[in-house]
Amino acid sequence: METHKPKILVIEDEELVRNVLAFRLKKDGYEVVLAKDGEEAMKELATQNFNLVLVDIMLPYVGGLELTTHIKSTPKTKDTPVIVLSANGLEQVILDAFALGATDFIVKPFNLAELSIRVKRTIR
Amino acid sequence: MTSISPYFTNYNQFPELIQSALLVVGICLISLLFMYFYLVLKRVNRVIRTGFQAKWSMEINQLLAELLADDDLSTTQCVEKYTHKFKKLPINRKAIKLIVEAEIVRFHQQFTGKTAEILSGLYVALELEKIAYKRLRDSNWENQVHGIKILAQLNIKQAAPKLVALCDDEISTLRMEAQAAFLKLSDQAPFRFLDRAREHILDWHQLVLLEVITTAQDLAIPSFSQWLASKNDSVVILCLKLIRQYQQFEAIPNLLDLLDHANDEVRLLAIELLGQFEAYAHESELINRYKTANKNEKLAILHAIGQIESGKQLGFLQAQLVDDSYDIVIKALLAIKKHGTVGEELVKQLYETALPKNRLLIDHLSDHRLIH
Repeated sequence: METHKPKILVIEDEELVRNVLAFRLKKDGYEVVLAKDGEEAMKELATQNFNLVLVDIMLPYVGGLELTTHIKSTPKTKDTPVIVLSANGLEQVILDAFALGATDFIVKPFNLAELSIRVKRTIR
Repeated sequence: MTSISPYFTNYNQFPELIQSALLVVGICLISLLFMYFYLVLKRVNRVIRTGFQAKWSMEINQLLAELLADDDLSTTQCVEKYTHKFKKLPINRKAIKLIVEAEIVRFHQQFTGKTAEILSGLYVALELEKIAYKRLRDSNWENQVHGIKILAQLNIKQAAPKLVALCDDEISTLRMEAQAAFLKLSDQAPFRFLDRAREHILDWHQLVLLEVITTAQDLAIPSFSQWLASKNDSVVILCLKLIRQYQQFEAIPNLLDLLDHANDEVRLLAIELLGQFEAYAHESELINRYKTANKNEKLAILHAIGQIESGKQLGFLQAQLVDDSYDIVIKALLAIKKHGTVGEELVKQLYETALPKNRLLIDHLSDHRLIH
């Protein structure tokens, strides 16, 4: 019987980080869908169900925080956990992300092993 | 269509002026053709180069992404395995080598921990640090700074000796980057550059160094008083700030020597530190200095005596209340107030006998909503 893999949507405009996250999360046993901006992410969110969304704050067109608001205010996705990635570790940015419903916040540069554990903990 | 051949065949029959004009037109036409050819060549070259870079960047990017996900191996094993894979690429070609270097640096900026260690290990294993060393010898200081930043970012410890000379370069940005990198990379004596610093360490530069020093991990903090006798005033100022940061009380005797320093900022900082360190035993030195001090120093001394709060100098502080300067009177009153209950009582007594202008000041300073 085929086991069902948890599905993660990674929204990251930096190709390099997107590739590394994809490699890492696939290796950790997840199904990974990639989006390079907010628009692409919205399309994926409308057509698929995800167990977790990993979103960068600085995105073209639709920013990471706006996307978090969208996810949390849409009935279909409101229960999907969101982990926010950001190069800006300012207290206010972190507070804003949590206030909008983010489950976790990871500051760049980040430790991949730590990210792996946080993802696992959030999905569990 | 008119042929241009008669201009060539009958050239010698034309008057000299026309001949010269035809020659100039000819030269211009040939030059224009050469220029177009050159531009097309450049553009083609750029397209080829961009395509080449994109192709190799993607390949190297994929390899690095694979490497970073491969965390079942130890750092050393991972470096060994991927050094072998990278060496299969035509890495001896300069262009490829530069792409590999740029990609490793770009990846390194995004990750910490084991991932960052692996990338640094790979950088050294592929001998890419030689590119950075070459940049350090470049005649363009911006290239030198680029080399320094890469070495510091990738934590290439063996590069530290190569940075010593640049730590005292006459170009301030280069000097600052070299010093910040040296602090990070040198295990033996990270502050050695202070011994030979002759160039001024600018204020913003001091902030950068303070940040590097206070956030660096495993940095052995020396006793900064050893540089308080430096002939470079900016070194003395930086060290005074570091003495404050690391609460190096053993520097108090050296601070007393600085009360007679020629530099105003050094004297002020020394006074401030004596106050912050509550140097009870040295209040008399501060009082002696007060007689010849300028106004800013006087204010700093009064503030320091308030911080020391020994109670032995209340008479001295009281004597300053007749000074013509409001600032001095306010500072003296604040210093008295800082002496706890004794100070508060004294201020009340002074209120009874004070001049009207001082009464107003005491009223103002007694307002507990104000923070002084």
